[in-house]
Amino acid sequence: MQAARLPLITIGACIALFAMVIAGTFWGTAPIPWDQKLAVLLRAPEAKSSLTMIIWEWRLPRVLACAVVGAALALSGTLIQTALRNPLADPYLLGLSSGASAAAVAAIIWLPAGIVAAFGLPLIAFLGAAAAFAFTLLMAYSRERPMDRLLVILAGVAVSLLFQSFTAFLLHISEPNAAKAALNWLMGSAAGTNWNDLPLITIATLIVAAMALTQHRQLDALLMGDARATSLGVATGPLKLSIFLATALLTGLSVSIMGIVGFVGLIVPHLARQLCGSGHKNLIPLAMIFGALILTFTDLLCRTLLAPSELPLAVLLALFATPPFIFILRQTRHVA
Amino acid sequence: MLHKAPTPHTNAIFKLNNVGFSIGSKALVQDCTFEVLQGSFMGLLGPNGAGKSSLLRLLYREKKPTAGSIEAFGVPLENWSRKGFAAKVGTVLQEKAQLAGLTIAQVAGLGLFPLSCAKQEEAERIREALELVELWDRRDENAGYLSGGEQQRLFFAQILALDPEVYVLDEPNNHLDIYFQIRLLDHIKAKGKTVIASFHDINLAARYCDSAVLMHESEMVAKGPLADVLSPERLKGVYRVDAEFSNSAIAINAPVNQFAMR
Repeated sequence: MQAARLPLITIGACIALFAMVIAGTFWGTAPIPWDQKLAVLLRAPEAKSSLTMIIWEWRLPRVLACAVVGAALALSGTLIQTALRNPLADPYLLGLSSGASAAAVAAIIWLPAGIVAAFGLPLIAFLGAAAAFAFTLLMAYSRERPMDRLLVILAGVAVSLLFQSFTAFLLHISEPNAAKAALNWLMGSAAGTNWNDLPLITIATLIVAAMALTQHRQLDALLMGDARATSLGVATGPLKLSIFLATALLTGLSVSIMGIVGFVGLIVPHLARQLCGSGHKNLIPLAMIFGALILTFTDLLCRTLLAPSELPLAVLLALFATPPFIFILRQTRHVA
Repeated sequence: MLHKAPTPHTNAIFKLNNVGFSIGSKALVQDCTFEVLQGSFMGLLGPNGAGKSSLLRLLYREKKPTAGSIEAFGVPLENWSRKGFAAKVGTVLQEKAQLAGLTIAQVAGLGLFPLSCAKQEEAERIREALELVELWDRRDENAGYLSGGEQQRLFFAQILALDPEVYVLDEPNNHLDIYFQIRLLDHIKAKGKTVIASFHDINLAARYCDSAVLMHESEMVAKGPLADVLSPERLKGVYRVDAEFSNSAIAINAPVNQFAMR
């Protein structure tokens, strides 16, 4: 729609993202003088090793992880909103977040710390997300209406509620310290990410994005409804199933790295749509850049606002997300 | 059947044999057997809920028949590749669509999805089709803000850009004003392609159809030339009107009072 403006917006967003990654690396809970920052980043020999450690082993992987997770969640959100043709759909709709939460909270509360550490909370959360997703698809299965969007949405809501009440039950019966640890995890945080977390989700995100871009016309056709897309020769059932699988993979990986990071998958696709329309060829890259930008920015605020203590991501994301959310609701009412 | 009868000279585009479609125990289409001949304009008639749209859904492959078989161009429907079939058989169907965020030109371009043609030709086809439905000047507008009739014209632009061998039209006159009803269907009729279209407006059907299939309560009750299909008895039994069809027009005297009939 605003074709002429689009390259400018994209370039601007890329520059902003790059600047945000640099900023996220330079600023944080520990103050580092300017000359040291540059020396450390360029790996100059006179740099202090403790600062090198902070920047290269803690901040940089953390900032990059925020960028990748933001992009992955925005991509998942874009795809799932298209597959379900529902502006309120988000990547967690399929029960992923509640499954991951239930598994993680159960592990934090029940399992001895040694076992949790051995398996790793990320793996446990990912398995929980995958189990809930499988459960949702199973409940939505129908021979006569394969991948019916209403069935999928209702099954997702039901599975989410089920796991949420399970999580609430666990929190209720647990002792305060374990509950606090579990709640911290639930609110999402990028703290403690390291280089090892990055390769898998980066590769997965790039592959899914590349596949989605090659199918951008099928995705556009899906917006017109299943019947029209089918009559144009789009295999709607398999396309939607692969969207669900890709979403589950990216979201599961994101959750395993940062816990529950809400709103990015819901709001960012809408922000991008306001700027470039619903055509997926432009929408997918723009949404991903925005997702990366917003999450790195929020993470930086989380680290610096109350330094030296850190805020959970969910707190600030909700503050940012609510105004555009209301704006979008008002917009969509005009269309419907 | 042990062997297929050789049918080299057949010009049946669609061949339906005892086709049925049901959801659970509810039969939506039963025992439909007819052929759609090449170059014919066939009307699918019947009152509300007779099964016209359901039957068309089977033809454009949104649903699979639960009984019987359908052949297209002599090949069973299920053996066709999705895209290959969609390139030959285009559809204008009845379904609400949310087009917000796509431009009019983008939506028209989606009609060309089954084809793989060069960018230049694509642009040319889109332009021609949008000019015909008089939306070319508004091509960069958000398609989400179109009225019902304008949206229907846009979906006509999709099929006209594709220009398939077979036009499957489900209530094509839906939402269209009189000018566009006549303008667009005249245009398609003049192409001489094969058309199968459902109508509830009998007079409009009479203007275009050279043959018709009449459906009633999910079953096919008659086929043949329109004047034969729409006998006074059938108009009474199926459409529940006391009427006469002659000279390509229907003259309605009164609705039939069901209670008086019994």
